[in-house]
Amino acid sequence: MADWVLIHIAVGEGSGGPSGISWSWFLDKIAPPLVAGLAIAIVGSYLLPRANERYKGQRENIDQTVDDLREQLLALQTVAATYWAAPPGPLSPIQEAEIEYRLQDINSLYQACAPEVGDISSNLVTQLALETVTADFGVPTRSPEPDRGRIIAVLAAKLASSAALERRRYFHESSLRRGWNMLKSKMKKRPPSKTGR
Amino acid sequence: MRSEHHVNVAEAFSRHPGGRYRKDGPWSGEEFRDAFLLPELEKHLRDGTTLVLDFDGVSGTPTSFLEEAFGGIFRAHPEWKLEDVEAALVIEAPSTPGLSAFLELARQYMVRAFSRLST
Repeated sequence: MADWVLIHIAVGEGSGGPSGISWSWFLDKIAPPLVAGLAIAIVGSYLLPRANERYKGQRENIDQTVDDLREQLLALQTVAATYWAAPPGPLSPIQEAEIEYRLQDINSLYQACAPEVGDISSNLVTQLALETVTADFGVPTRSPEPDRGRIIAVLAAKLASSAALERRRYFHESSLRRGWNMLKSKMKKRPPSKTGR
Repeated sequence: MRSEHHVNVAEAFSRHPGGRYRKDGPWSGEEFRDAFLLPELEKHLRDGTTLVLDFDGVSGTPTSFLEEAFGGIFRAHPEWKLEDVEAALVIEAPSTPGLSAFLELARQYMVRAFSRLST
């Protein structure tokens, strides 16, 4: 009996044989979708976790960058207010160096999150730098300008809240987009109903 | 159409612009303005041509460097007009979009220094 089935498979006869099994029928009807399904499963199991990891990494990076930006803005407010409130003293050069460093850092962090997070205005960064480092900045004969601390604090707060707002919008939109894409792919895979419902 | 003369700051001056004054260390804004920018700008204003300063390749643009270099143009030459200088000087960094906010800052320093002297 076993020999007979083997012979049937070897010659590839059509269905209707005594065994009810046909190798050519199997190759024609079952094997292609089986192989395709297997290939999709293998590729999917490789790609999906990677895409997910990448998305997760991107989210964490943006989250961290915006947090760092807000921290730097807060630190800048404090040091700039101290610097402008008092006349030049022995600590002034150190404060000037710190203000310069923080402004450079704020610009880099802003640039790092701007393409992802979107519409934080670069004009705010320019305005903040313009008000923090004026023509009198670093001049040994400058007068104290206590009001400047308030102007800097307002601009820094605007930039910080704008960054937080844009981050929330980005996360909200990107999770909506992901949800929508998943839904669309599921709808495509589902076969059309015979009743049309 | 004004003819343009492109100068890369990283090659012609330094890749690492420094602080405000010469006493703050090498490659200061004061040094850039006096030794490089003002002589070039004077020539271009006289010839009716445009100096295009390209900041691609610099490691950063400290704000006090920018203030002293660009705001200082009008402190050194209060007789110059803002519109003439703006026509004769273009500041750009086409391959470094990260510098755009600070290059705008350089322009703002010129405007502020000019209006401070005019009032």
